[in-house]
Amino acid sequence: MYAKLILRGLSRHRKKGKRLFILLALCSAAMIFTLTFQTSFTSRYEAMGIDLYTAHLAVLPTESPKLKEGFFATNKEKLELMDYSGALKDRITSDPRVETAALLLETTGMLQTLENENQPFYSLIGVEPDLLGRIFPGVQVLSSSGPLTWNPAEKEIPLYRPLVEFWERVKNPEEFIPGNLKLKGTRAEEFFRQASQELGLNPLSGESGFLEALNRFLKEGDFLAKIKPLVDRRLAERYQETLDNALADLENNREPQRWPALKKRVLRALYPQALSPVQEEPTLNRSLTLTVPPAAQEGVMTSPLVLPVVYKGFVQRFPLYFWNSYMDIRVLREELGLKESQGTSLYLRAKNLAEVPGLKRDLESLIKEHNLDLKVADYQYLGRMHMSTAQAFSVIGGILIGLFLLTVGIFIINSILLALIQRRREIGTAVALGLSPVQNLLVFLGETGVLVTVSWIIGAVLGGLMVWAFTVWGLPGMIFFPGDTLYFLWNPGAFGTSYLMILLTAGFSALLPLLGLLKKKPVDLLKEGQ
Amino acid sequence: MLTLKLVLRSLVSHAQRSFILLAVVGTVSMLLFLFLSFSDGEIENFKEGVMGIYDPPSDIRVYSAGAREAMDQGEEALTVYALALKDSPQLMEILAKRPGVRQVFSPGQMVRQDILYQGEKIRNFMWRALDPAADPWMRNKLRVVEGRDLDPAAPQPQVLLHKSSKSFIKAPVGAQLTLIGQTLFGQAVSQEVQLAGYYAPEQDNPNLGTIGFITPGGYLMASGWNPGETFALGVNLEKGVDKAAAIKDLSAWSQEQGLGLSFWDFEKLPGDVFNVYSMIRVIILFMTVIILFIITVGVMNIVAVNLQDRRREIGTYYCLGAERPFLIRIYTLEILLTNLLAAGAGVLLGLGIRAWINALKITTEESGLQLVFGGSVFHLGFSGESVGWIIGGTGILTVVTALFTLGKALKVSPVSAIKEEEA
Repeated sequence: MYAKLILRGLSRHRKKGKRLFILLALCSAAMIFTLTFQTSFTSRYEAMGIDLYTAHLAVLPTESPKLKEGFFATNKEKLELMDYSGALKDRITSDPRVETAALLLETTGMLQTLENENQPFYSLIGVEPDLLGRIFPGVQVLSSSGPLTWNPAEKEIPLYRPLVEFWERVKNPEEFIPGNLKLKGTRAEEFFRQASQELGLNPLSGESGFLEALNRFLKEGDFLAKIKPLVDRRLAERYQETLDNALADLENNREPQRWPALKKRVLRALYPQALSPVQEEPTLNRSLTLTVPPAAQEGVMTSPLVLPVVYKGFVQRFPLYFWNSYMDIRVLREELGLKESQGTSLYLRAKNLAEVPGLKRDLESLIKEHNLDLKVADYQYLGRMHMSTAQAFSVIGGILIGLFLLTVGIFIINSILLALIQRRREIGTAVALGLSPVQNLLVFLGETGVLVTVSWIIGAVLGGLMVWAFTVWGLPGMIFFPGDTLYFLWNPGAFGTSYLMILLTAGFSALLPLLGLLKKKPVDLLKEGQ
Repeated sequence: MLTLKLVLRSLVSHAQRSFILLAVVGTVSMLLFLFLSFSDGEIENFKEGVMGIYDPPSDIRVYSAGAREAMDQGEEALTVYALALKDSPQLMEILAKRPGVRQVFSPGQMVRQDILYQGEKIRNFMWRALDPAADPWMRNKLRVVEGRDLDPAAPQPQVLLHKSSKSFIKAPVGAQLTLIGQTLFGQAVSQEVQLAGYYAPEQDNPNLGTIGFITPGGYLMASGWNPGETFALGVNLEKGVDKAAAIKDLSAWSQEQGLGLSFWDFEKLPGDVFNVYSMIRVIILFMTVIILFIITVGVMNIVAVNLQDRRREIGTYYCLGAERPFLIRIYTLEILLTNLLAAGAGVLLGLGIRAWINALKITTEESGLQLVFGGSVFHLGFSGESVGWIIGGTGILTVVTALFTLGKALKVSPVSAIKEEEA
């Protein structure tokens, strides 16, 4: 009987309920999207942290900066070392739960170009090249010109650095652009005349004409031959050295991709008052000098280790938080005078995430048993800082879900109130025919339930399509992830959770005005109809 | 005028009927305002907190001619800092006397130096000069949590370190530290300093962990400046003074006096783009749009039902000679005024809640949450842009509602005005 009454009621008043139906469907879709976004963000972020930075477990010396509070604890120059040998090594290598174990040397380094320009401050990780992709599978090599493995016969040591960031990119690296001209007005005009005469340019008038002619000059094959006669012009002493160095760099250069930048540097050295400094984008096969602090600090000014390195690859990094470069650990060990069993941290990757707590407990027991000066940290502890970001997004998602439910609640209350007013005659008639107010309430609740269920199905299809789209193509603009894109993960729980939440909210919201119906006497309902 | 009169009368007479619409739009506006305030708060926290310490804000920045351009174009440090302002105390005095100028100060240039303590070096600390008495603005941004305040008159230079550095430097208050590094001019320098204490910023952020404060004497040694030299001055204007006009006046005055200064609007200077917070703001704005879209459907439903119940009124208007465009105007204006009233009420309520939450001073020590909040104190900010979004969204909501409901609702026969009464 109830089913018949419910379906008849819905069918009779379907036009009036159309917009509410659409609203419920949209809310359902939005909730499914938001719930999936929350779980996808958290799961992906955690997985990214494990794959790029923390692995599953780390065995660290007790004094390791990674165990200290403070974002910059790792700025400490001194290396806190551990020994990976004996019982610890035997245990880990024989444990079937461990997929990969890698002993790393984590330190810091300063990079300088061969023109003595400082590059950003680096976190440097020495790792066995074969193990890098296994212990940190997220550190994908995006482009490379050679392996990370060090060849002692070669002068330069390979270095894999993070991918080139937007602030390192150089617009128009092969040409001068208006932003490179320092002079304005009549002084600029004077410079155009002087440079055109000296370089033999035939420019059209104005800034754009001059730049066009200058850029053509840059591309000419006999650039050096034309420039050399100008070198004897009188420059202030401090600029003469810069010019000499720029010329020497150009003459000695063996990296074809650097010709344009080096030529620009020569022109800049010739006209330092008129042209701004030349920036160069990091490129593969670029030679640099790396200075690394010694393993132990002695005295105020300790000489660092100076190593000739070459960029051999660009790798993925953990966006916004960590900026790690990688080098063959053998080089660092040799230069720092360390044994093969020495490192700053031992990272472990388990075959199964579920086995991590058990593995951690066993390692802690072993450490205690052998009285080793080590601690074990899991990925949750090591990732506590960046995981707060995921927590914050979960909270934002939770607030949004609350908003959607509030919307559902308010509009359901409104609809029920209107229905009670507009269908009073119908209710009164039903009561006159023997239906009690409680039964009427159940019919209305049933209508609400069916409406919510059917609209949820439509919403689930819509939400499911959106989730599918973002699973395949990813949600753009997510700067927290590589490629600024978050790829959703299917979460069937989101569908069930959204349905339950909407159903309960709608049911509770419908109940509030309907409770008034229980207090109505049948006579009152019929009277109002008249 | 007639339209407005009719609309206002309708609003008053149908106040009860409009209540649910007011409640919905008002509640949603309030919640969206708080949502956008969260994003405003992040940005304000970061600007006032982290950036306030890295680069204290001002209305106008003053440089010597060519200095700012040299820095922006990436000239080497020696070239840039050679363009320093000489005799800055006298310059500050002269500038402070200019009409419209409220305050002149030296924001200072941070210098990078490492700390050496008990044979261990900790790299990449950034040092800022602080004279607590002479620079109350900066001093009020910190709390000394252990030890004592800096004393510029002390025989040895003193430093304050961020409290988070205590766990890995492990130096007690009063310890002798060595600062080593290069001056701004590339010269190697080393000096002994005394650790006066540890500080916590009022608005903490993990990025402040390596910022240290040093007494002015020690700063001169570390930076390589001569006494009286500085790279830039900050000028704050009196309230109501137009910034662009002030910059023009000051530039003309400087040229007249032969001072060789350049004046820049601080907000327009190239600086760090708060990528993270900008992105969170975009996400929040996107969510706002989705919520407004969903709400629009519900509002359309309410308005449609309301108008359905007012068919007699509409029929009466037609009987009196009103035409459809006139009625569209009336009802659109009625919906607009209702929505604006509700949105306004929602924003006002949101402002009240914002004030209450800010008064609670909810604080976190979690570094990750500090990064998301922009600082250690959860703060809901305020910006005209956020209010604009809500009002603008309300306007769009009105237009869409009017477009999709009025068409059908106004298809009423004038006869219905009489017919329904008979029935």
